[in-house]
Amino acid sequence: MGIINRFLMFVISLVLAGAAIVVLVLSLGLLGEASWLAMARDLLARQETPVVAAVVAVLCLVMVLRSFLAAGTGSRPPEIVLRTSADGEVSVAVAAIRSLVLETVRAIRGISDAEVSIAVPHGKQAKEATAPLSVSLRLVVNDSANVPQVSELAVKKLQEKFAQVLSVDDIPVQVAIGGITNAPVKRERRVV
Amino acid sequence: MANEKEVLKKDNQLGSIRIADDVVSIIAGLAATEVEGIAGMSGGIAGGIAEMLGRKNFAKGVKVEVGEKEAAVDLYIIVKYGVRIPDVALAAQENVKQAIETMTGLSVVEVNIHVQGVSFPEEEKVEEVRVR
Repeated sequence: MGIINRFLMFVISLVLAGAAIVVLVLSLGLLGEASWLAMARDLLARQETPVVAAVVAVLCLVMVLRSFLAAGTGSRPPEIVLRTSADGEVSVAVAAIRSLVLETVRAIRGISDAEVSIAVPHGKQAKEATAPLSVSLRLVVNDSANVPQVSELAVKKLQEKFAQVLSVDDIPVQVAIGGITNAPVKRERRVV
Repeated sequence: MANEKEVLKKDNQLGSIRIADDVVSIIAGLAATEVEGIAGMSGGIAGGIAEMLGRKNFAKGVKVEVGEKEAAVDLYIIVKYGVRIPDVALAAQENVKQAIETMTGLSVVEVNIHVQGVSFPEEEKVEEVRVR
């Protein structure tokens, strides 16, 4: 169970425990009828009561819906298996590959920003695929950049990086230009 | 007093030797962080909050399955930017396997490596003067 689900379960359990204690106290007659009716009237008249009730109701509904989620959709991010051997398996999270791609691409002169999409083939596609993943880039380039050159350089740098870091060759990289900007690129001062 | 998470290793006339799962996790975690190229272990939000509160968790990012004679380990690691992941993973598998087998006598059947992130070097806060 993920951390968020566990937190929701914690909150709901506290609320239910509180409600159960209240019912216990009332059913044992520890509190006079007049006094608990007055307390209930006062509580229902407060503005915060419907808000709190709505929040608890939503949380409970969320937990009910999540309880119908299929098993195996654990909290771990999707991964790509690089190698399987007698010593064990080596896999890399898609998020790690995404940050690697972003860092590589943003270091290229002429590229101002980038959006990365990583596609991992599943099932039948995985058997037919020549590479364990494919990368789609949406680049924002500077107005002074040569777009074809920058695009080719981005593909070349990424494939070199994948070969160096992941030991995987020929990963397909698709490049699309999402925008052209003339905003100055922030660079560190080199001289004093 | 029986603890389900303890492994009975040896029962002889002198007594019994029990090794807790957490011990194996800590050994694996420490062995993994020794490997060049590994920036740290990935422990998720709970682990991060615990560390912020000053509680060191040497078993962060480690899951173990411990039997009577064998153990299987899953490591969730963060690697340094630029390192060759298969080489780092192989070194981690060997180091962790050797550490557990040496210290506990358990046979490690597999060490699975899950790379969860890449750590990038922080920029130097004090800029060096290169020219005058």
